[in-house]
Amino acid sequence: MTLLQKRLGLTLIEVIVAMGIMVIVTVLILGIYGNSFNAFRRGTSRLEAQQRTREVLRRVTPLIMSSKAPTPLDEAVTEPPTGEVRDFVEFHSADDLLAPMAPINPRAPTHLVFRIWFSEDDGSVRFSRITDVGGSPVGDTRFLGRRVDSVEFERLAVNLVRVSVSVTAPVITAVSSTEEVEVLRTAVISIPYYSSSR
Amino acid sequence: MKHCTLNHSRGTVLYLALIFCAFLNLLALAYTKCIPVEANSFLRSQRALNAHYACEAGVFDTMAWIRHELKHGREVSTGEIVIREGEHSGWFWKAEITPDPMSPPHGEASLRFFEILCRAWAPNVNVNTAEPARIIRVSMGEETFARYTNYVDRMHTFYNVMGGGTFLEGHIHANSAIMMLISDDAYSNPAGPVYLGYMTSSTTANAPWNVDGVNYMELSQAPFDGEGTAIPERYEKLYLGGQAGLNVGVNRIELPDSSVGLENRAWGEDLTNLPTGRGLHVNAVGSMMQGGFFVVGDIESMTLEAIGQDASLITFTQLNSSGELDTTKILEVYSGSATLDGHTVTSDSVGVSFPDSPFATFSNPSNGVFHATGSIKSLSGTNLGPRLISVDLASNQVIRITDSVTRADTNPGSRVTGPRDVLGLVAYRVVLGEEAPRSSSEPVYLYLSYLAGKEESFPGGGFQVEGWDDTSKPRGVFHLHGASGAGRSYPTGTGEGTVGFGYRHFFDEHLVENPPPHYPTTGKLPIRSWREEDGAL
Repeated sequence: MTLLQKRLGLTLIEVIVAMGIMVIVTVLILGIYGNSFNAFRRGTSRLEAQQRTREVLRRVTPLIMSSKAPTPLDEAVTEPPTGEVRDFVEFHSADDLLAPMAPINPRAPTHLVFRIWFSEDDGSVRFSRITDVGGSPVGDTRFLGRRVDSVEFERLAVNLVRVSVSVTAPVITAVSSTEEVEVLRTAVISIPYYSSSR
Repeated sequence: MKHCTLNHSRGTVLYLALIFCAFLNLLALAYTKCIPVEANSFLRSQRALNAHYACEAGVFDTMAWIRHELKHGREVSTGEIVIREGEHSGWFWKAEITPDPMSPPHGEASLRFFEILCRAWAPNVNVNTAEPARIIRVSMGEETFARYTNYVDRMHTFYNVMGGGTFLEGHIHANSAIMMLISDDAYSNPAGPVYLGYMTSSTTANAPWNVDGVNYMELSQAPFDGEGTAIPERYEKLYLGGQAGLNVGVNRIELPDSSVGLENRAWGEDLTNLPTGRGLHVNAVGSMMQGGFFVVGDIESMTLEAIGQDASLITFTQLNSSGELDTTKILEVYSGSATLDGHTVTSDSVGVSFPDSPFATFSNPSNGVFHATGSIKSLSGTNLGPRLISVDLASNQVIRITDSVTRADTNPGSRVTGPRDVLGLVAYRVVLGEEAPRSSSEPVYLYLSYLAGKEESFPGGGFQVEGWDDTSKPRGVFHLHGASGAGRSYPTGTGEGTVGFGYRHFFDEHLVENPPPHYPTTGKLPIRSWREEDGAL
């Protein structure tokens, strides 16, 4: 028994080797876990960023689609000019898009001018009625999105506006280092008014 | 013992494998949290897109249906809301058409306006209880021919762009290719552009003028060089905003093929039995006029007269069976009172003096439409109140203007400042007769809009000037303040020359929204507003 017990026991070297293996395995597992955790956090951040871009586009799209030229000689969208890119868009509408949907007098529609713009100061996307083309905001300003890095409006054609929304979201990793994921979402908005009235 | 050691090793591997499996399970569980979030987000985007397409399909379907109904002379609504329903890729849409209260046949206005409120629901949703996924509200209205400063179905003559600067305001449209003769010094004129509105055409001119679609009769004067490259400074002298002001290839706009609609408006209801007796007929229920004035036969002369600023007198003569002239007078009073043949007519009522019937008084104003089945051989005077004078298109009847036709709210020679005394003429041909005075210093003033012609293969109707090239008479000038529309373009004058009959054309911008009563429409229903909103997605 003594001999057997002696043979069944572990030598110091064996223990050290086993512990070394365990350490290596643990480090490997922790590394995998950390990477997986980072991937998860990165994925979550990407989802959040995507959701923010989606929300901005979801709110911007019906507004631009509601644009309508005041006369056949005018354009529904006044800014940016065709082929150019701006961080704002200006357009006409016969509706007060800041008010609830309500009937209008079609015989004497009041044409209003609106602007959607990106504010670099606080990373917000805002929507407001303006006094005239290129004028200053009047009345309430509605926020269409926050924590946005950039918004660009490109006029592809008279009836097409491409909207690009870029959002960067921070990722807090397992080792507390900060990295960022960037999401760029683009939509081309076709203004229905042109397809049936010209 | 070897056996025992091996068992230990296998156990370690198993433990490690289990640890890894557990870890991978945890990882998979973490990722499965992302999947529904991403899937929901995708589904939401897809639903929003489908909802928009379904709702838009409903709007366009409804708009097409309204155009179709109106084109075939059917009323879309007699005042109540009309509902249309349909499906698009399994999505259900429902559109409510609400006519503007002013729209015919019950409203007082001559243009029909509609509001379409369209909602779309996802498949397998109870549309009676569920919130719609998308809502679009569109306002649309008829377009009057009077919004075109110059409309031509087939261009036989050309626009003469003289060096002195021939300015034409408003929108110009031709179904055929536009022809234009540009003088040598046109581009050196410091003023410009020549056309102060859009110029559109449905047809492109053949080569070598197919560069921009306009037939510039002198190629050397075209706004492009020999290789077809645009010369921007020339375009800017011609069109509003340069080349962008010219748009070739737009949809055709057809003339009305008959005047049945105007006959119905003059009678006040659909004519099933046309009055046949020569003279004026007024459809009234009791003392209430149902429409305007319906005249059977030719009119030898017709004079418009303003009684002060509140009453209008129309006097016309017709030959009776004995070959003598019978005179009929219509006094329409808008405010205060006026007297006709000893009878007092009060505000918002009409008095009619018939040649062979007792004096009649109607206790409401007419709808402004005066329709004759024959030609009007002489028309002149001053109009007061909104009015449309038409003759039968099917039998190619004519309205001849023999002297100035002015309006009470505007001094002759001045620009129109309001919509009140608007006058429209609808005939197969509108003619400026040779009786009209010809003087370069005292123009003939025409404060009216005309639509001359009808839909036909080879248009013959249009606006003509009798003796336009007669060199035996001094050169005359007429000033048109209003819109012009013609099936065919006829020569009217020799521009800035010394003989014939030149003209100036001033557009009245009020006509776009306030055309003469029941002036023909183009069949287009432009959108007045478009509003989109997300619903419950």
